[in-house]
Amino acid sequence: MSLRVVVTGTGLATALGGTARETMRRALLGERAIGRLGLVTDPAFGELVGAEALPDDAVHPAGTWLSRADRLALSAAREALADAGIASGSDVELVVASSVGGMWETQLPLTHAFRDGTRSPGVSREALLCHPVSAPSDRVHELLGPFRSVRTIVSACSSGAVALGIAEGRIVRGEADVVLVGGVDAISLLTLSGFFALRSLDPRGARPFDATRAGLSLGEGAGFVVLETEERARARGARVIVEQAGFAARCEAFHITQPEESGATAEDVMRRALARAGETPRRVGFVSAHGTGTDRNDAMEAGVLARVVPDAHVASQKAQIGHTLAAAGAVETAMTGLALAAGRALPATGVETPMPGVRLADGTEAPTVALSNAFGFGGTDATVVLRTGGGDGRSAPSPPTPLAITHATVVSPHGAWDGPALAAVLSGARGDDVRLPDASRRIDPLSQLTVLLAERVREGVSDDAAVVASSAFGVTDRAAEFSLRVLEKGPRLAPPQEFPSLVPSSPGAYAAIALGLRGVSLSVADLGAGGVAALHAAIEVVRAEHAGEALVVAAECESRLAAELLSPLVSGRAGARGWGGAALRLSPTDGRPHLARVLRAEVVRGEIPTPPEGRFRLVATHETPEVRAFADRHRVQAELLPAELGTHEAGSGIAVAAGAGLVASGGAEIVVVLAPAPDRMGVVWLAR
Amino acid sequence: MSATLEALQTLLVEELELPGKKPSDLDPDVPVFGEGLGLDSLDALQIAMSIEERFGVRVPEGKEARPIFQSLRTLAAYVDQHKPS
Repeated sequence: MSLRVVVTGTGLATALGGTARETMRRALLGERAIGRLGLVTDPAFGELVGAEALPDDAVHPAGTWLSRADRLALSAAREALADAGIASGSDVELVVASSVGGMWETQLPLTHAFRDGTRSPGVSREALLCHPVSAPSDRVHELLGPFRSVRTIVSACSSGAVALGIAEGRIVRGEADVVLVGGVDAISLLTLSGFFALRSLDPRGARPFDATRAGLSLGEGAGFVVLETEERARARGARVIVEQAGFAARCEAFHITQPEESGATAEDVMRRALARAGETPRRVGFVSAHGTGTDRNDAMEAGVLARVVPDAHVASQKAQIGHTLAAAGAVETAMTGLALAAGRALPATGVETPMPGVRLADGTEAPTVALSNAFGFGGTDATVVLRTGGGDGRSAPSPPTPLAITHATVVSPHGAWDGPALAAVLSGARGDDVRLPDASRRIDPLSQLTVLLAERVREGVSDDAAVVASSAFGVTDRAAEFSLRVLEKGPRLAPPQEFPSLVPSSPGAYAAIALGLRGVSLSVADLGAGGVAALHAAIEVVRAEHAGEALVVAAECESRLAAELLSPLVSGRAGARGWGGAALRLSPTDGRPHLARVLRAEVVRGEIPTPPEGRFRLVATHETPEVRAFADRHRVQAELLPAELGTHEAGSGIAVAAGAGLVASGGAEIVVVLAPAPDRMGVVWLAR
Repeated sequence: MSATLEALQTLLVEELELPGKKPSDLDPDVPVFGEGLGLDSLDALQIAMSIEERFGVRVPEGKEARPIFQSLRTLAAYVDQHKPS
């Protein structure tokens, strides 16, 4: 049986245009939308150049706050659904990549809250609901949904491509029929200041692959596609735009901002993606490069392209729409797909003096096969392969590899537990003493905790492993401190070494770097169900063979802003928040000893699925009406995490670890874990 | 040893949290990056920002910066040359 994953709808909102049609019309003409950034009026930034996709005329009627990111995502997602001729519904899944969510709107209120106290009048609570990186996903679900599932993927600048890869994998394995998948990021003072601090911005506007290039230009935008199998598309009479023929991603595990000079990982990823698509490098006619315009990226990437696809023509859309961060991998892949469908390539623009050895596209090329590259901070490199004809399609996937939690740990203010001893977490007994690293400006407390947790389960882990991390709000206090400093001293004196920590995917990336783990590393966000979302994503990464096994980490650090503002507002949780988290090692069962097999792990938006036959114990992070109803229906008692562990969102991971401990210690044959959060429920089934 | 050089040694130890190091432990003549003091690109940016903040001197970026960052001594010389009087 031959299966193809195809794109049946696209939606785009970029600086070139608010629709896919307008964006492509101008893109194919070689237009550049990089210019003076009118959004930023603070004179300390000087004349900033970038690519805005929306005017700054947002009106926020009471009760309907939409952030810039929300608006961009809604526009592109709506367009993609209409283009595919589908409404949302119970068979459509939603996957959204983002890295800063609603920070254009939330950065100032958070900075004021940090400086003046969380009750100060400068703090807009309505704005803050836009804050979590998972907020745009929830907004799309709320206003264009409902969708069968809703997921948020973060891997810095490769997020959009990784989201496409995850969606593709689900369709190939028959886990999803139709996926609306894309990415969004809006301009924010945080990213502007951060790239400014890194001295990465070219005041003349990004000129990727120019010999005299001097940096990137920040953009904003959203790009969504509808993916389904070709069979399903034809059966419902949908028009096929292009085939998404393959995907690969790996982690450089090298440095939090600098790419590997050799480009070895990027090369490996491109070759893997081609192999998965059953394609040869010679057939690649066009590459949509990552091409940020920085000295380092373009030098590395030009070398890789010359080695892997020397006959292909290259262009970077970042010369036209700026660097749209998490959206880039999705926006640029969608643009490439539309160009291929039109028998065209996208032209390289902004180049006055071409780098030697780079074959720039002029847009008249008519490729059949194209690549889209996206490389992220912290080193997750991704490539998507698109195709308009030929190729053999994929063979049916093998039956899913059974997976198990082979090691687990919890670290909390109440001590630490490992392995079967995790069963004691629920009893309220203290754990072992654990030494925490000293506070550092170089690496934030959340990343430190994430690395610590990963190290506790690292024994025997191969370097092919992935890291999948989750946190609800990231390092909000640090982000506010950074912003405050920019407000007080200007962006030139913003501390560059503190910026990478503020990207939500950094904690996982730091863990991959510290442990030398090269499997794709990514982060997810899903409020209080994040730990379950991370386990689910890890299962998918291993089943899709992007990594041999995975370390799953859910962590939250101490945060005044999260405790006093964000958790109560967004998670609906009050009470002593605390800090802590869990790490799980997820591996194929392979006959090796394990704590518990994982039968299921997902975050559901509707009914909680009926657990497998037989008696089970129920572990939950905390009690909600839904948890109580489930417990009553199945005539079990919900065993809750003790108050000493805190009320933070990494409880979702802690509950899974505790459940695995219960199974491993012989306390239960089956454990169901529930992690409730607003409008969703993390559900995990563990078995002996 | 110039006051600027000593100030730079202190700045590095503080800004970069070099573990267990006293300012006088930093050899003023070894390369700042790679083999010598072992700093990376992010460290370079952080030092450049701190120098601008403390001394009011803008250190150039990229390739132009290499001869300046040859050693702490060359860096101190650059700062002394460009300090606003």
